[in-house]
Amino acid sequence: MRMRRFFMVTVGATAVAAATFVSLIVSQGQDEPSRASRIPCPSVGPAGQTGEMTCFESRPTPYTSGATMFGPYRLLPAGTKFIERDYGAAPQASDFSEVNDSDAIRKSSLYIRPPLGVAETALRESTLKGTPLQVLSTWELDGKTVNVVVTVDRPEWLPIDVYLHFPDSLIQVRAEMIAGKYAIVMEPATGPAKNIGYVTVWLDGIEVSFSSEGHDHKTLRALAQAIATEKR
Amino acid sequence: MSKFHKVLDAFAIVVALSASVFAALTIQSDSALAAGGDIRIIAGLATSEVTITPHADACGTAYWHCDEASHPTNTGLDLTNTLGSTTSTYFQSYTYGGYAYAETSNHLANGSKCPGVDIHLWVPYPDSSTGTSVTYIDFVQIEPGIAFGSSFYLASSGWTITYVGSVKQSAPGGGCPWDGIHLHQSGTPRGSSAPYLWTNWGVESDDDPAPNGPNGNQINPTGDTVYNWLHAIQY
Repeated sequence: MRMRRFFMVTVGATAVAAATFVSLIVSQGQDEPSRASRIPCPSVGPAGQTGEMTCFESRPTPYTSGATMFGPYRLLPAGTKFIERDYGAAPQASDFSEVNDSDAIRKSSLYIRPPLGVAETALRESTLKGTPLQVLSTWELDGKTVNVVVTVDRPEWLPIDVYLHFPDSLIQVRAEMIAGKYAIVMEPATGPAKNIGYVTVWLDGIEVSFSSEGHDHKTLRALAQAIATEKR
Repeated sequence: MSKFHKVLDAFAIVVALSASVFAALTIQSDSALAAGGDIRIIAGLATSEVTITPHADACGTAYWHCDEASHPTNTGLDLTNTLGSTTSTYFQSYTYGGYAYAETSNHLANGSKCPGVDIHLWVPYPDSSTGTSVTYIDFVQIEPGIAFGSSFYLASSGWTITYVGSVKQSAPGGGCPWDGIHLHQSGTPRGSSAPYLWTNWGVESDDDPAPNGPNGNQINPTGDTVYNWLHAIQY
């Protein structure tokens, strides 16, 4: 195996580098709650890896208390273990289907028309037992793409769990009001990587989620505000 | 100075110290290596042999598909464990050069109805003090076992292995399409300028021996450097 030969040759060379690397990671990360812990690696990795390995884990904590409600959202404390939910009888794969006819999708109860000045460039809908579940739209604004996902949230699926991030996480999850509607915003805490994350606004039974690699959160919030205002 | 700047600056120092040693003694693999960084991401299942299952979608092939609601451009594969019932799932990457910074978030949000973990990756390119967001590597149809909002570095050489959860054994419900026990693993392509995130479209053509399963459409995650990675970061 070529990769294994590569490991044999490089393992000695990388030992020095790895030792320096590891010491800096450990010294830098000890006081930061968001940092995954460096743990000892097994002699053979999960997929049969051998040679130089660096292993991490960040075990979450089972939920006990501390959640707060924000409209349809249950805001869970940072570090909370994913809570398995019982949504009742789970649908079969055959219960889902896709619609690609744009004219038909524009008649869907989940369809949202883009604001003035924003072009719609693609549409796709998924249904659950024939009922609209989700509409995926691609909008274009100033030559840059915005992905828009409109999703139905049935009453039995509520509340919607939102897992807050640690105070020092680079990506933050925030609860906000946008045009009088409940919204969840995921965005970088700081730094220049501003086109990461989502603005999701709750429109009384459906969620509309905006993301873009070309536009920042100011623009995404403005789009959410325009849609929320129209739906008010 | 922001935390992000501090993180990447500290890492730049590490790489500056280690790169010369690494470069001088490393024999290049058969695959083409980029000048700055080359990181391969393999299948996340805890097994030495993975079966790729069909999932037709217009974006790719009979196997590669792009139908995630929250990351609609992600190229993904549905994977099952050929050799046993182990369901543990890890982020597993191999660094030939460079490094990256990772932060986790909940996949079941922002339009997605299916449980999972998204690993968001930055690389220190073109400016190590600012970095560039390069991809989301998503592990879906799993019960997450990592704290959301936690972060880790991809090692500057060798393997980086981080536990992310276990494959769901029953339908998640709540509007999530599910067609049996599997891991859906995907990455956000980025191909117009560096840093790149490549999809290994040919991985489904791998013909590694499969002593315990059907021939074809199987990968040995730690096998050769051509067929056994799913996504690669290069810058």
